Amino acid sequence: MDGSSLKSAQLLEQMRLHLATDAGKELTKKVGLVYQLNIAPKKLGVDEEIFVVDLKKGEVTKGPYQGKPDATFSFTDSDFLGIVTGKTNPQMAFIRGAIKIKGSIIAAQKFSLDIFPKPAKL
Amino acid sequence: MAMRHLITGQNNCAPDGASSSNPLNALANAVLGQSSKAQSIKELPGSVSVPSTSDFGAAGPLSTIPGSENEFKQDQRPLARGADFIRGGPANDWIESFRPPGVPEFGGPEERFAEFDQIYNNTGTTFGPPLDGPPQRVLSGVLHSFLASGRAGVPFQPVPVPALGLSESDKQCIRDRSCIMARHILADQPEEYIQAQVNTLLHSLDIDNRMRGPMHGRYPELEEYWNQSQSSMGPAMMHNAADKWITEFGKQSNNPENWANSFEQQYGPNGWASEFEQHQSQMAVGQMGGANMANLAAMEQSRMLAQTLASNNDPKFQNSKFFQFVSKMSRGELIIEDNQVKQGSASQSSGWADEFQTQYNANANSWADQFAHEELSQGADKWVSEFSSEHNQGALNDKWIDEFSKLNVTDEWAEEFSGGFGESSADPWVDEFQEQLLSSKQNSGASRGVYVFSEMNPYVGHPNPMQEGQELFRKGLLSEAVLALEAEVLKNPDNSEGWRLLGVTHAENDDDQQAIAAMMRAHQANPTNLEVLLALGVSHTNELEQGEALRYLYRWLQNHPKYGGLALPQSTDSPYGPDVIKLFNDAAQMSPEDADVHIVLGVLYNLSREYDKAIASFKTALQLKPQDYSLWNKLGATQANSIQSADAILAYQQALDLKPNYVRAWANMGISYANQGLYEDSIRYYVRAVSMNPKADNAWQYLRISLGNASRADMIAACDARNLDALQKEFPL
Repeated sequence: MDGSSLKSAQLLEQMRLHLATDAGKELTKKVGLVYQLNIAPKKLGVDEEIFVVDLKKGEVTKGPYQGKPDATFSFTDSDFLGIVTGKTNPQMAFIRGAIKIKGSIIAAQKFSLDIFPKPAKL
Repeated sequence: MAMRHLITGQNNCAPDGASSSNPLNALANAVLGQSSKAQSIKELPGSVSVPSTSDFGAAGPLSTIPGSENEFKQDQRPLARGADFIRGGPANDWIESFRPPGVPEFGGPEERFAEFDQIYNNTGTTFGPPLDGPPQRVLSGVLHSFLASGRAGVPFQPVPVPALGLSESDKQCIRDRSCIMARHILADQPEEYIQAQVNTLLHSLDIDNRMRGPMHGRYPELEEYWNQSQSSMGPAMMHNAADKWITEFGKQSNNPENWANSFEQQYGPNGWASEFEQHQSQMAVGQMGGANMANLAAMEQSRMLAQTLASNNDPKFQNSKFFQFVSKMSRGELIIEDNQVKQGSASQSSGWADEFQTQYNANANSWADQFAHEELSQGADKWVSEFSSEHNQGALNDKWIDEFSKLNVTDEWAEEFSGGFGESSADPWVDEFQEQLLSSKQNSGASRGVYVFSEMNPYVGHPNPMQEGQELFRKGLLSEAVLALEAEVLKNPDNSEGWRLLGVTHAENDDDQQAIAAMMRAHQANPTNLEVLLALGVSHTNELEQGEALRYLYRWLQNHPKYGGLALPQSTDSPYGPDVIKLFNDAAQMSPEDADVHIVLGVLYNLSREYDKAIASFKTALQLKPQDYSLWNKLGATQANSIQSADAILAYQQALDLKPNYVRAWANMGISYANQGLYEDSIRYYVRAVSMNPKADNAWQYLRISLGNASRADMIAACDARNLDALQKEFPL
């Protein structure tokens, strides 16, 4: 997450820390799948930064997954943020083409983005 | 059938109507409207179905014209059925429907089946069935060979037939239906060829073909309609025109007026209405199993799919959007049409209808009424799908089916699915709609840094709103203070302090957008005010806008009378984070007793996500300013962001002890509980926050998420309606 200028990077950093907590471990136990997030700053597919949310091992890392993730999501920075914070309806975003999903749909459904920890405000 | 082959990916697929264990397959079937046909037939036992022009695009025209015996056979002969269908069952049904009405059914069912088996065996091997026995069999044989020749594309050879003793009405029946059937079967052949084929057939059967004239019998209306379209274009052209129409519609879907115009040019204002009416009546009769049935069947199938999904016990999955989506589809709240998901009774569709109605009040009033009525009862844009599903070869529909068909074959359907959506011509429309929704929600422009004033402000005209605002702020009546301060800055737009306090109030009220907007104005009025620069830095940090935040915090240093000298000589618009942090550390060394420097450092470490250092900085600042409630909140928020939620809650509690009406701290409390998975608890804090400031959009959104995750979907409606009373009653703190 270091060096990323994406807004989402903070959420992913929080997720990384979250996975070490009891609530996070429970999540790992429950889901047990690996997700790759391709997050683009402005336009889908352009200058994407790739993160892996590994809910098998319980870690968040930067860079593509070594192997085949169970599902890969692609979205823009602000759409990702919007979905995590409840501003954007993921269903509409999906239909609009703002989210692309590769891989198993069943796996994708197990990963609802609103479980991401929310940023608190200073 | 070709469509279904696409979906199953093979040729020897299960026969029509066969129960498939794959619900997606079944859903696809239903959307294609194939398996619904048997259904529609059942609703009219004894009646003979009538071909209509609307069948023309269907991939397998024969299968859409089942005879009345279809139902009977399906029920009685489940085993033989598959074979019959593969050998072209529907055609046989059609032939069976030629059984002269006067001739009673011979013997019991068994007898009849034996006879049919014989016919099937014959047709399977030879074009020339034995032409003897009872008239029905002879007739069947002739018609079979007629069909076979039609399929093979060879001229039909007249066969000598013994006298059949057909009555005048039988002949007429055969003649009429042969004409219609031939056009269906040989739709791709020139008209003369069809005529020749039919003539040969009729000649064989000793039927006078000159009697074609104006149609009579039971279906004059349809025949008339047929002739009309026939005379104007001929079958092939009809086809093209229809396809063109669909494409055109796809291209112009964001411009309904154009489309309507072009349609009118083709058909005249009333042509469409009458066509629609006709479709309506057909649907009401349920004969064609058209889009109406397809929609109902889609609902039925998605209900089955939903049930299958519901059997998955994973609660997360139960709450998943996809499941909800399918459930909604099964309840008819959503309809899939032309690559889009639409709300069943949504306002957008009626809005469209309204718009259309006003445009066409003059000449198409009755039509619009009817359409509006139809929409109310059935859902949006149904007729579009009706038209296009009857013209299955229309480009849009095909594409959709293609995309959908991949569902079954591979697990990667989602990609295809969304890809299809992405390329869909109506995509910009959805975007636009979404944007409109968003902007109306966000009070338009707040995100762009434009301050949005409240509409009704009792403090406008107040003699001293500034003083009143300060007083209200001190008392902790934040929303009232906002109004008073708005009155002040309306009166004195250059009052930097008024804007600043307004910004502070908004920040404490958990509205960073408005806080930023107000602070920008304060900054405009007084570009060197340090408090304003710090507040802007903090608010941009909260909005995760790193670059902006860093810029304002760096300006704080530049403008500080004491530390200004530390700033780099060259002015920069995008300072480098680590550099700025280093400068502030230098400043902290210069004067370790200055709490403000530690506060800025804390914010900077939040930006660089070095939370431990941020916590240390805020703690140092708190030793210097222990009564600063916003500082306690900053500490708590930093701890929360580094997932030390238990500590965070303690810090928030300190802040709330000092300022009970601190909406931001209440909302942050909720976030901390939610991040620990304690959704039930988080709800109570969110409700407290929104009841103190009903304009706190963030808190409302988080409340909604927590309600969902706490399996309190029953209260989501209250949340969406922003019904504070209900929420406070349900979730007291």
